[in-house]
Amino acid sequence: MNCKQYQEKIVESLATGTDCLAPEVSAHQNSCPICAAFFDTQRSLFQSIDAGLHTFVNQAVPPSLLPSVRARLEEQPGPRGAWISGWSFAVLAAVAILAISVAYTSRRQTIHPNSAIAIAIAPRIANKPEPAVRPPQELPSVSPRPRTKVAPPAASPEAAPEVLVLAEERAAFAQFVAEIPKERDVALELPRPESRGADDSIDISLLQIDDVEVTPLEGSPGK
Amino acid sequence: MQELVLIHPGRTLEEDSAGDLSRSRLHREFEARLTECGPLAYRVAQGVLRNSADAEDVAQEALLRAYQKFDRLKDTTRFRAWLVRITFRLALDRWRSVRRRERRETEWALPDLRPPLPTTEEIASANAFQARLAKALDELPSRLRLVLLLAAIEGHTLEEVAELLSVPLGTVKSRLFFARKALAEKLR
Repeated sequence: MNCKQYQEKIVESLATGTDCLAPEVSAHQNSCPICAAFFDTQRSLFQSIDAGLHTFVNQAVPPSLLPSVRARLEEQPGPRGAWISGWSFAVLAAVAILAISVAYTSRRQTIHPNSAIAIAIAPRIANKPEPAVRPPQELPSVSPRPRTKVAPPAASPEAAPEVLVLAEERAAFAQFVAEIPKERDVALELPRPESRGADDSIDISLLQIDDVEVTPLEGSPGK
Repeated sequence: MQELVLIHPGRTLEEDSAGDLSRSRLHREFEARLTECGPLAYRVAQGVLRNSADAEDVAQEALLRAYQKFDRLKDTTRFRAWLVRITFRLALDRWRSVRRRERRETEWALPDLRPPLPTTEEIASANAFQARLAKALDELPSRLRLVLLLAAIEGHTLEEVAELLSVPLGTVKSRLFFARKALAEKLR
C-alpha cells in the first residue's frame, strides 16, 4: 500500500469514532512522518466535528418551552377532540362542493322557462281533456276585494310543477293542441329553442284600469 | 334551582363520562412524557435549525401535534421515537423555508448591503468553523443527519439511537460512519 491508501485507512478508522488504527496502518504511521502528520490533522478535524455537533444539539433548553407547551395544551380540544385530520377535512370540503354544484346545476335545468311550462301543461292535456268553453257559472267572478290570499297547493312527490293559467288560456291552448295536425308549420316551430335576444325587446307595462264597476251578482243579498 | 347539563345527542351520560375519563387519562400520560421528552424535541430541532427561537417554536409545534394524535399511538413505549420523527420532519420543513427566505433576501439585497466576504482570520476562527460545519451538515442526506444529531445528544448511546430510529444497531453505525466521513471531506 502507498501513503494515499494508508491515509484512506486512517480516515475510515477515525470516521468510525475510534482512534485505534489497524496494526499495519499504525506501523506505517510510525515510520512515515507525512502520514503521522495527516493522522494528527484528521484526528483534530474529527474532534472539532464532534465538538461542533455537541454544541449544536446540547444547548440549554429554554425554560419557557414546557410552560408554553402546557399553556397551548390547555387550549387544545384533547387527543380525542381532534378527530378530523387534514385529509378528512379536505375530503369533506370536496364532497360538499360537489353536492352544491350538482344541486345548483339540476336546479337551473328545472327552472328553465320553456321546459317548465311544457312539463306542467303537457300531462294535463294528454290525460284530462278540458271542454272548449266552460259554462258561465264556473268562470271566476270579480271579487270586490283587490287581493285574495290563496294557499299554495300541497306538493305531492309525483305532482308536476304547478303553473297558474287562466281558464280561457287553458281552453284556447287545448283547442290549439287539438288543431296541431292541421297547423304543421306551427307545430314544427314549437320545439325549436327561442332566440336569446327575443325577450330583450318585450316591454311589459302595468295594467291600467281606469274605471271598475262592481255589480253584485243576481240572487246575492245586495240585489 | 335546576342544573343544566350539556350533553351530546345520541350519547349517554355514561359514555360522556367514560370519554372524559379516557381523555383525562391520556392527558395525564402525555403530561408525564412531556417533561421527559420536551428537551429531546428541542435538541433535535436545535440540531437542524441552530436557532434557539426557531427550535423552540418547532419543538412546541411537534409536542402539540404529538398530543393531538397521542390516542392513535398504539405502543406508548415508542413515544420518544415517534416524537423524534415528528420533530425532525417539522424542523426540516422549517429549515427549508428559512433557506428559501434567506435566498430570496440575498437575491434582492443590494450589493452594498450584502455582508462582506470573510477574511482569512475569520475563517480560521472557531465561529467560522462552526459555520462551515453547519453548512456541511445541512448538505447531508436527512437520514445521515438525524443519526449524527441523535448520537451527539448527551447521554444517547448508539443502542438508544437505534431504538429511536427503529433500525438495527449496525445500520446506525454504518450511517454514522458515512455521515462523519462525508462531513470530514466537506470540511477538509
